Amino acid sequence: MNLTNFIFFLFILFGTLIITYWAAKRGKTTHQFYSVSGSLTGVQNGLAIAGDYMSAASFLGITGAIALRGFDGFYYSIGFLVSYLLLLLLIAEPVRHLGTFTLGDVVFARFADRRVRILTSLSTIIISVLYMIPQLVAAGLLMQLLLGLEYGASVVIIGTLMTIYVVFGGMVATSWVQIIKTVLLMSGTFLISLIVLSRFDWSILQLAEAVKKATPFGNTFFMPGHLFDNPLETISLQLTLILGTAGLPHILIRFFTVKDAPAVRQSVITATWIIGLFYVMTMILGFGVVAFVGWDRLNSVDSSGNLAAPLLASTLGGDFLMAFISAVAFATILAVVTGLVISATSSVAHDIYNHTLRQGKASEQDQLKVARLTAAGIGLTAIILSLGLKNINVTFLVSLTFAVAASTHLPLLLFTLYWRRFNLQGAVTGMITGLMASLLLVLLGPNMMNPEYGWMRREALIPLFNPGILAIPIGFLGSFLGTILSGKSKLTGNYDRVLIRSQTGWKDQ
Amino acid sequence: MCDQSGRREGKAMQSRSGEQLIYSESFQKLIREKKRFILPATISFLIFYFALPLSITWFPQFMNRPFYHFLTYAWVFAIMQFVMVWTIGFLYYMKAKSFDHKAEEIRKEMEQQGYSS
Amino acid sequence: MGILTLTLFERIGLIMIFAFMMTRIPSFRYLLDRELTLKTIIYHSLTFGLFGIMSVHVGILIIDGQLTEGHIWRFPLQENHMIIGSTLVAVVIAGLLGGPLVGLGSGLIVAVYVLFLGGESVWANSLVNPLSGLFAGFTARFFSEERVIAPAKALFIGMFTPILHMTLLLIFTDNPEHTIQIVNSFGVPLVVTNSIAIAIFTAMIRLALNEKEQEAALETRRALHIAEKSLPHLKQGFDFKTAMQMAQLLRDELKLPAVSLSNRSHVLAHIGIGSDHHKPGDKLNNVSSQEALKSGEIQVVNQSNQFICEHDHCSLRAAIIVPIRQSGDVTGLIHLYFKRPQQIRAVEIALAQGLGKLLSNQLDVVAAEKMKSLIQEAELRTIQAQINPHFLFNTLHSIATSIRSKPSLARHLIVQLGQFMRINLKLTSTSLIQLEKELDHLRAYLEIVKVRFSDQLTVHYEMDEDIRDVMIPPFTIQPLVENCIQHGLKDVEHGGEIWIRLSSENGKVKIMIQDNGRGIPNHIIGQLGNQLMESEKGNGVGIYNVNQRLIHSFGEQARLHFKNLSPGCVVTFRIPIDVQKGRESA
Repeated sequence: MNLTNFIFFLFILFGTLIITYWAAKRGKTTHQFYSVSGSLTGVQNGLAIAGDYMSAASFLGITGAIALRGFDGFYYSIGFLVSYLLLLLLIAEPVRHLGTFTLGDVVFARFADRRVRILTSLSTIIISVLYMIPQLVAAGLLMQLLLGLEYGASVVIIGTLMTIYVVFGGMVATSWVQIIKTVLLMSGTFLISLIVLSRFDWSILQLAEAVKKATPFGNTFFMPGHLFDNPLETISLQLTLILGTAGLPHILIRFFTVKDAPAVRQSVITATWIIGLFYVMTMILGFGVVAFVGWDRLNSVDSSGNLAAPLLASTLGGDFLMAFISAVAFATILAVVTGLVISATSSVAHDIYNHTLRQGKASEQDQLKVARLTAAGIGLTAIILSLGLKNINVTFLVSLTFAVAASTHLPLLLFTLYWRRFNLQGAVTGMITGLMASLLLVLLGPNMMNPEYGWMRREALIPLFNPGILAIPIGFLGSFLGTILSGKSKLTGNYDRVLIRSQTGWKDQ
Repeated sequence: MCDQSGRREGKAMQSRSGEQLIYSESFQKLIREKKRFILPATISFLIFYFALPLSITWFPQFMNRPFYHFLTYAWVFAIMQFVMVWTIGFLYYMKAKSFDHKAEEIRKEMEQQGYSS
Repeated sequence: MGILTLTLFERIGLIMIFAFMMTRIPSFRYLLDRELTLKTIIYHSLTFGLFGIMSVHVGILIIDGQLTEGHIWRFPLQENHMIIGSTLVAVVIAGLLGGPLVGLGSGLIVAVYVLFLGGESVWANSLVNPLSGLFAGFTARFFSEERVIAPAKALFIGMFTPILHMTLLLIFTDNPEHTIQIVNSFGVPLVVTNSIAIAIFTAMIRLALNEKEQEAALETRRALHIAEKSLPHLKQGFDFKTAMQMAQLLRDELKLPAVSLSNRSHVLAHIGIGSDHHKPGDKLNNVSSQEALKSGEIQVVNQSNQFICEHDHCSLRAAIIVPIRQSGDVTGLIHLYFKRPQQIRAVEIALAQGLGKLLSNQLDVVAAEKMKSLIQEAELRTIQAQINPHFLFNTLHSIATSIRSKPSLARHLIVQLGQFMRINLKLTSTSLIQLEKELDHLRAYLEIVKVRFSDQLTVHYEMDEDIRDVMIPPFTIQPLVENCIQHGLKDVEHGGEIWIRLSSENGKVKIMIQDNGRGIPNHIIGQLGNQLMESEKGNGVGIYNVNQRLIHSFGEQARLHFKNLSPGCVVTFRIPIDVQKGRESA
């Protein structure tokens, strides 16, 4: 690691640890720990949501995808953004009104039943951990490339930091780490886009001309078809992206950190602007990579394209800019994994420990103690898993998490909020079938079964990398049939109350 | 004894007025208005969104026709998705102010009917 | 890179010296705790803008991308010259302290200057200033609720402006290769030095502000101290003597050239400079004093066209006039004099304001206490004036038994009873009577008692002639004598004697009532007059009342003293001869 890199790395470390210290000093209540006592403003929470959501895959991956695949790379990013409309219109506000800390609270508000709370929290934990591992593995590889650190050391450093943030700073530290990351990421990409444009007299057309000359695709670089050639696969991916986001627990719990529905709305809208503008800028970055770094060079250095942005920075501004962008990438990874740790932690400590094992009677101190222990345990588990999975391609886990979220949480949430007849049997069946379908489809799909590099060397039974188009309908169907077939079940929960509370924000406790 | 019966009576009253509230004019009106905006908005953005991959699959010639220099119709459509998100977000933001207002009134109404808020 | 960093630190050291001096200037500190108005925004922008211009020159000179030794003053720069260094420190601090507008303002000033200065990459070097100021202003708002951001946070924020600077250089460059080389060699040293400098500067400002706050706390304590000390003076009311003491106290505590106290119309006391022509008894004819009396608001005379003293050679040129209120009305003024208008700072005004309020409150408290004691005394007197029903019944009984056999005695008794009751009635309405009158009352009482005790009782009076007119609270002697008869001489068959001696002694009247009865039981002698007692023979309320009223009227030295003799007992008390005057001032 050279000195420049080291200093920037140190600054990020220093800044985030100060925030954690400050967060640890402020109140020591469960409300503060899980939800910042709902004290964030809409804009702050919007920045935090964007920070929670835009992973290294968004920043580095999409820039690389645009550089290598042209239109299709850009196209990939759209699903990430549009999914926020679903959150905004149907889910965010009711979730805020019904829950206090977790998704389990929301479902529990309708079905006062422990089993469904446990199931919800289990799927939350599965999604969080499954999402955390590829992030950590990718982070380890990335830090290895960017900072010259050992893979193991990188994973341990990032894993330790995310654990420290959550253990000591809870949601307060998590939120501010995410906000800072967003500011860093946005300003970094903005400045580099400006440098790219300034080299072409601020003309996108000139840039495009240069890009055309620099890629082997020529004019077709700007046309679809370089990444997605299977329409069914494409639709499946788009479906998973747009519906999965709305069920991601670490995004959903962010709505508990603001005080009311208008703030929730404001945070989602802020997030859409940040994320949208960010993807517009990654387009310029991607073009810039082709124009300055060159398609062939990028492809030969790293065919996944993850190094596109750092290479561009290095070409445009030498070690200094590259170190800055690496630091931004570092912060980006940190923010996302921290968000995942807190979402898993609140599920374990709030849903399982407090509400299930202690019937909601645990004292504040006990709850906090367990939450901290849980966070440390989750951090440790994730580190160990990631260290073991170094040489295994785990990127498919990302699409798996989106598929699980879309096929379990989304039907559960939508039916809980909007379907009067929905009952406990439906909820349980839906969750189980959705989860099983996603796991099974991935297991039988080309991620696992591949004649060349799969875990199972054979032709895939289901030829879809993204199983969403099958798993999601199965999840919905499971919930639906579970409800219908259970006959006139009385376990429909108190829908009237849920409706009034979710639509007006009225609280009856 | 007396206390218990009183409590039971209170509960019965609560559920009665809870049902009344669900069917109360103001709440139904709020739900209707929300539905009138949210349902069409959701359906149209989903259609608009899936129209992009579908049209790329079904009308590749048209989508690959240049609109402005390097920008093909596919690009325009893709960028329109961004614009769509921001527009619907903005429209909902404006619209939701009246929802908030009505929800506030309903909450007040509930308080007057003896619900604790 | 190491040497470069060191050089930059050296240069920044120069700025830090200047920054330190700046935080020592009172008017700069004063600026810090002002509300952000358009005026202060402009002041701040100008101050920090100038500071920024100075920092521009402190930066290091780069010729063709190489670090060069050089003088601090160069103007204008040549085409291939560029100054890089600590310019942003000033602008970022401006933003952190004053918000986005101040950051932008000072940044613009520096930007314009840099444009005139010229040199390589002039646009980037210029533009970075307002942008950094704006950025620092917004982030400070966003990240912190503190008045001055914590140094650790400032360090973190400070790191980004050099990055912005480097990126702008890259954006505005004509020669990317060359600029990349500059950015690579200067970027990190700039990030390190600038962020540390910004953190140190914020720490300095926080320190300065803390000092200010401590000063304010000290002033508050001083005001409280003064108020506490002045309480005994205030208790005695506002006259020439107490006003003098108060003025002395204020002058000593506040270390002012002069202090004067006045009532609504006249100066009561003036201490310090100018006492040759500021004299007690002078009329208050100053406009500001009249204004203070009228409005009840504190008045500050610190303009050269306002005269606090019409005297030609008076060296008192400024003053704060503090009205003293009593139950809402302005009853007096305190003038705090200064030699120069500049000596009156916000701190002094605040102190004077606090002092005025404290003194007014204390006066109200004193007045309320006095009122309470007056009411209490009146109540006690009323109780005392109630004629003991047993006494009345016994007297009437005596009249009834003697009205046939000794009509003249009966007549005498009726006359005496009438006399006694008339005086009784009269005394209830006054708080002080002449000793003579009190004795008349006593005699009327004793005449009746003597008849009833049919000459078992002899009463001796001894009284100095010159103390007849001394004022005494009514019903003081009679209850004591009544006590002798009812308790001391209760079982004495014959030969009971009472001596009443009134003599002047060292400017006081000594009053002694002595009997030859059985004395006061030892277990109650200590409590008598100090508290009410539970006993079958009465609760001592009469004695208690007398004692309390004496103490109220004349203080502790007037209290009753009991002493057992053999036989009998004696009760003694002393009241000042100069009662008339004492009453008036109390």
